[in-house]
Amino acid sequence: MINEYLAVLIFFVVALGFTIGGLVTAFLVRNSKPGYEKETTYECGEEPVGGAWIQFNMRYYFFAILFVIFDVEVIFLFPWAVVYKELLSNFGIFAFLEMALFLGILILGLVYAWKKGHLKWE
Amino acid sequence: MNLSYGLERLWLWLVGLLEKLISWLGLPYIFAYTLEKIIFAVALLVFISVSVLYLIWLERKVSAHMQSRLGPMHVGGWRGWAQTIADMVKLLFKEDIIPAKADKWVHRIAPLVVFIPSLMGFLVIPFEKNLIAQDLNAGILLIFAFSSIAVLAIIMGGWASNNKYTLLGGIRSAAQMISYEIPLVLSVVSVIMLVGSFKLNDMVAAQSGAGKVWFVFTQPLAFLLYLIAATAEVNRTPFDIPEAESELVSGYNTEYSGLKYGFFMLSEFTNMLIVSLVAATVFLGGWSAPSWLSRVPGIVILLVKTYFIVFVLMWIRWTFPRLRVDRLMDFGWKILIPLAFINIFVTALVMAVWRKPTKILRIIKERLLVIL
Amino acid sequence: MDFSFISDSIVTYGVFLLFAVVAVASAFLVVSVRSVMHSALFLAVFLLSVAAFFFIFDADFLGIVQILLYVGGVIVLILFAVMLTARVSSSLLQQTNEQKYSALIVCALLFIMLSYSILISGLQGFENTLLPGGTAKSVGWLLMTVYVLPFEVASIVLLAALIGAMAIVGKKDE
Repeated sequence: MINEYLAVLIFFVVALGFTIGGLVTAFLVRNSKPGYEKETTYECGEEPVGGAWIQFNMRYYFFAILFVIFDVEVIFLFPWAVVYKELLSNFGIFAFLEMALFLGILILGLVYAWKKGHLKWE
Repeated sequence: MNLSYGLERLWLWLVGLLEKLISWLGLPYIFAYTLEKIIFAVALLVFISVSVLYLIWLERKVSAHMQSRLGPMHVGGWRGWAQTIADMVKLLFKEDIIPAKADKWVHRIAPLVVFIPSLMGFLVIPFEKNLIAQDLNAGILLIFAFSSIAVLAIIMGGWASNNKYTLLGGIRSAAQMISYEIPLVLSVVSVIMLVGSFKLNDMVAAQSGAGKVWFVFTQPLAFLLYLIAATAEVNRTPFDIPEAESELVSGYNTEYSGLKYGFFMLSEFTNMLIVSLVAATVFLGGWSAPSWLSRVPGIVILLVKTYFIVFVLMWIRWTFPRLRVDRLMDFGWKILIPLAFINIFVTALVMAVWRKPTKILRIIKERLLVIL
Repeated sequence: MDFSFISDSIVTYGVFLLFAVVAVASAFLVVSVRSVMHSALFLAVFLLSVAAFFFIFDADFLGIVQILLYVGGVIVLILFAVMLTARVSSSLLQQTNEQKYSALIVCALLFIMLSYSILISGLQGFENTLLPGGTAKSVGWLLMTVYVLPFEVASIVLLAALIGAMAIVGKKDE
């Protein structure tokens, strides 16, 4: 039996061929006259001051952590959601309570972050 | 020949022919499989390219008419239908400029990384029951997984240009996309609970047939959440902070020119197409239709629903003003995510109280035995 | 030419080898390139090839999790962290120090140990063990019955991570 995910690889290769083919075609047909003025960083016509690679706000990092935590939680939700109907017919309300406890703890965390003002963007 | 499944029949006929040809040549089946997928992928690329060209034209016309303008009128004759084709040709011949200070290789690779995942999503979307590249078990999860890679490409593009506007646009875009990915995924969880499968074909089956309604009626809140989060995922107004042209020039793709810019544009519209296709499939019944429309091909029905969602997205874009960045994050974390959780809770509870807990005691005993 | 030797398992094996090469090469580049940003991007390539391994071995749900969480989540987190550092502007980075030889020995020992334990474990390759309905259903079923306690504890671990993140960012009141 063929592994179904071979199709993912085939699609990847076709997409790669399409994008690289496009870029190569563009490379062959366009003309190129590089110059100093053209290659300066665009800053609405002003001379750029300093580089862009500077230190960033901590806030972005916090939201990224928050995202990863909730992503993990969503990933735990998926296997539960997909068998929820079967779980209900076997365990009844218990299937609901299991997830309610899991989600409840995390929602508690979200509410805590909210109350502490950490969800506020500034 | 039954007209109502024309394209599906054609595809199945082609597949059968290919398999016969390959076995006649004495080659193993895997050759036929590979060829089928390549044909499907190329057909999808053609479909995507044509749709995107047409969607960009539509976007310009819709925006123009909403602002009492006419939009493109000259190229090609009727209503400027060839405008985007001309634009594409122009992009192909444009000089490619990489800023001297840029990180050249990351700058070059970012357009590839942004486009390739957006094609992958089409792998699991059923255009008709059998008109699907590969009906994977992971189904909708695959779409979410690959769309999450797009964030990476946007950070790469924004960072590699070494420009303040692109970097700000890229990082804002990333923050927005990761914040809205949670409600996007959560809104589909309730549908997965009702269906009990990740396959999009199973979701369509759960909405078609006698006594079944579209999930937009049983899960209206989920549909609304999905639509809002999807609008944010594809970076469109009112969530277009990343490319707010009045603040950040053009956001993360400011320093891109030529076809590389074209790929960013292409993937933006491809993503719009894919979120609309998913919305149409998951919430609006997909390729299935009421019995009085059974002679219409499923793919036509799916595309009509899809383009309706696309039109709604355009409508929203040209109606609402842009959200401020702090309001945007607030809206995502303090309104959409709690609402998505409430939706899941209510759905789970309704599903639970509709049955009686019959075997519960026996099961608890069994489980205790297992644990011990 | 005779192509009939190309069976499904040969193709699977070939794809596995391809991704093995990609994984090892990208992992090596992660620890050898001199820009933090490039390191992070090669790490993304490495994690994607690990996802490919999961798909090859029919653990489709884990493969999806790998992409969704590691490539789409953790790498974004790392990229944000990279942008937080001031080092990103000074693009040259020293990745090795005087301890590299001892590290090499430790790695070689670890490699031998892992290879040995894999070889004696009696695992067979490429058995088609795809469960009906995909692995997600089985995972869900086990998670909700046998492993329900670890499942609930995972929630507390996540809560701890959330509180830790808030502690890092610092105190603030609304």
